[in-house]
Amino acid sequence: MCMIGVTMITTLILILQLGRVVQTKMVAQKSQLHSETSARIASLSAVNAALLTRLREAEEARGVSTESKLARAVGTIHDLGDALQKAKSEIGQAREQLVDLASEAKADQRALLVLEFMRQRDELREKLEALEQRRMITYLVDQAEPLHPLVTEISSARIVLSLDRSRESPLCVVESDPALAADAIVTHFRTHPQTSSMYLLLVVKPSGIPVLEELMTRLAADPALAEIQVGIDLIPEDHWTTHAFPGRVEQGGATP
Amino acid sequence: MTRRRAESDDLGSLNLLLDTICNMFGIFVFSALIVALLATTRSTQVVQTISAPTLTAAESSKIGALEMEADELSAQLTALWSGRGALIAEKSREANAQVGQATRELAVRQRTLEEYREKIKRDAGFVANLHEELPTIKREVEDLTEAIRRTQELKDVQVRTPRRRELEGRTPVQIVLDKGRVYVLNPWWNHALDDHPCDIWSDWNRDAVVVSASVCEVIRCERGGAIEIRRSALLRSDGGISAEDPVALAADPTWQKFLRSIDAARHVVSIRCTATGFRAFGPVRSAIVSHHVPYNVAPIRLDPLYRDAIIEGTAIGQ
Repeated sequence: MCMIGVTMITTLILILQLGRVVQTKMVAQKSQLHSETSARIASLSAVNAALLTRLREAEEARGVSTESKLARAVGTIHDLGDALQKAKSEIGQAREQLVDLASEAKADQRALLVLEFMRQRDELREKLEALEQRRMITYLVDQAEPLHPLVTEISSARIVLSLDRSRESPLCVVESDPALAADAIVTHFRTHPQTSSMYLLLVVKPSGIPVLEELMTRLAADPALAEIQVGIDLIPEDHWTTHAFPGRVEQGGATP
Repeated sequence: MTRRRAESDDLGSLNLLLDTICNMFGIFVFSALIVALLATTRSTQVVQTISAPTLTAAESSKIGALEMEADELSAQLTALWSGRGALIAEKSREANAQVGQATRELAVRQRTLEEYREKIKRDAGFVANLHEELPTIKREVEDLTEAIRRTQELKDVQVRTPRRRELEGRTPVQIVLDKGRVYVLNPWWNHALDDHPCDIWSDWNRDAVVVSASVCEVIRCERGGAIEIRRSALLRSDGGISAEDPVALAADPTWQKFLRSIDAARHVVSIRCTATGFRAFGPVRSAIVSHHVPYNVAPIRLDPLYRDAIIEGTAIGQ
């Protein structure tokens, strides 16, 4: 009978333990839920605050003031260009004057070396400026590479295709519809006589993103196109890949 | 005879009593075992059943309202960004950048001119001390040569056949290019190379993202096994590293720290670029390639959150 009593007490304790576990877990879960909810509300509030800030910025950008600011900036760029040219010629004159002074003062080799370095420095500065202003992007291909790129410049209004080792002229396809533009790229690649030794180098401008998305969707969906190797480069809108079709499309750059 | 029978009857009734007691005891032990088993196995179920959805009505409605507001704002923003205003804003940004660059160039030329004029003004004796400027001018020439080399790399791009398989099995390191700046999403430099990437992917770089508005949902992360992580991050409008100038980018301490922390043998840099980040792509790509780290690239749109999914650590390769 004693054993029966002990067993009953044990059972009772276990039942009580179950209740306690339930209670503890409920408290813990409530607290976790509360903290998760608070975090979610804080996160959403932060997102909304950031969205509001960006919306204000975007609305300001849409305003007339931005257009007039842009016009002013363009005028400033022209003025700065003139000032740069003037400074360049004045520097040239001053350098010649300094060289004359040094030769009059019978300067030693080290002084002449300094003058030579100054000349080099000025030349390098001009070279750097010229390089920064260059808008043409050149792709250098190692001849040992197994495949060569079909350089495909993609923007919203046109596609320019050129091959590095071919004598054929670059080709421009004027097409503003992303789906048709993607079709044109695939068709040109597949019908090219050197397809087996080529890959697609997609040189994308910001306005060409929809065409790229369309093209990548097609390449992923069609098993027949899965073998086409694709490389991607991104270039600013005002850059180009061939002198045959320079300039911004919006400015009539589609014609050679 | 009678006495012997009476003794055996007594023993028989005691045996019956013992049998009954033992049976009862067995039933109690069995019941106790069942209750204990139920207590351990069902406690979690019971808790879940009892306490499943306990969000208060106020909390639910607040979250709902905030989500709705976010969707509306996002839609308005998308409409604004896709219009002519966005184009003008981008042109204005580019024009301002050009004005800044031209102003800097003019300042350099004016300083050079001033330097020549100062020298010319002095007496002829200055020629004797001209050699003292040799180290300074030599350094300037070296810096310019390096700047030309870096800029040349952006204009004459060395390309090679894409090697998709080269990227398989590598750990993707995500960076985002937006508005001419590069945002390194996670502080790879604060972690050891052997740290599990899940720990790094869920640790936001506070200089790049608004942590309170960014979410990293680790669905599963088995050590050496399946990985599924979904993230959304809000980039800081005052964060990131200016990346359009290759020389300035190379000199940035955070960028240097980042490049040192990635391993050419095990990482692949996933470059995600918005329409306003294209100008920064060249300098960033060049810096990564010079560290011999493979990369892949994809244009993206921010809504305004950056979103990605890392599944089994496989990068979408170029």
